[in-house]
Amino acid sequence: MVNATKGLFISCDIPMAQFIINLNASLPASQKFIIHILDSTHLFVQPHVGEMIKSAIAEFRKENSFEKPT
Amino acid sequence: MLVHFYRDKEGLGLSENGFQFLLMDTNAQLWYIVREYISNSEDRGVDPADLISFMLELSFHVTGEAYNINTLTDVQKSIIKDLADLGLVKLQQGRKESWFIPTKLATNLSVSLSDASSRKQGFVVVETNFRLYAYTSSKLHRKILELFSRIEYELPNLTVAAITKDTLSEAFQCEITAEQIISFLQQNAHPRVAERTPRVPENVTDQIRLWESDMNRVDMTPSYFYDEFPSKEVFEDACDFAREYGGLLWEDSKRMRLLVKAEIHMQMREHLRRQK
Repeated sequence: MVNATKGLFISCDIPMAQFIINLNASLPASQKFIIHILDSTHLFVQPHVGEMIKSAIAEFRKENSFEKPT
Repeated sequence: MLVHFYRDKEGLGLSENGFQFLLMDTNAQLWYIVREYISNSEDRGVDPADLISFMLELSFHVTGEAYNINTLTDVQKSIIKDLADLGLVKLQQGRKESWFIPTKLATNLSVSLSDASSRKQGFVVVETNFRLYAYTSSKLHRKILELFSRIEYELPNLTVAAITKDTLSEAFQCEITAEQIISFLQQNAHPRVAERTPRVPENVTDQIRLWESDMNRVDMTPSYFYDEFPSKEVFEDACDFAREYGGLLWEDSKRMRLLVKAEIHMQMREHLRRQK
């Protein structure tokens, strides 16, 4: 019997995929959100973590950019 | 409303359409308002056809010359007051008669958007070090520049600003696109750089576009994951079905796993049930 799972399909480049996998690994077991790692650029995660991933990526981007102090 | 306002935590703020309106060309802004005015005219009992024909007539008048209001029909007299509020005509009250004088804005109504002679003078110079020099003392221009750049110095006739990753990411969060910013800079280029091709340095335009795509590095699609197919044929059939509906996101034929868009999940379920 075919099994259907609801979730969010994530398509990105390889560094971002690794970032998300790392983020998943740093969370406690009850909050891990990756359901399947499909290949190096695609992931299948739980449906409600979209916003959380976006804000984590924005944080990461801010850490990596330099702003001249005014 | 023309420029849609929404309430956020700090009170009334400008919405996405509002920002795009600010960055548009003057003619485009004018036509936006005129279009809204025309579509509202039906509610006020004015025939849109009359309104449009009057506006086109107006654009053929000579700028600066006074025309007697008595030459207008009653309908047109009722419209002229609104047009004066918009700045398309200037009303003048003589001792016995009233006059209206079309402004440059009105005569430009029927001019095509790409006509360079009617364009107002540009004021922005963009340099390859991401600095902006705006030769203007207009507060409006300063506010527009503040949308996507960091103002460094404000002098009586010059504003110096810098485009940075931070200011651009704030702009992108307000739903302004890189194309809008770039076309605003190009259209308002100072005459000294207007002859140069391209008007805005390539490294600046490329970098603005790169920073925009940096904002969305990850694509997310709500979807359903199917596995444990009883046989290869059922799997292939399901793949073809999903492909037909344009909902196939990813498949793995070795392990017989399938990902489809959430929109076609119901149809997929029906299809699989019918297979039994």
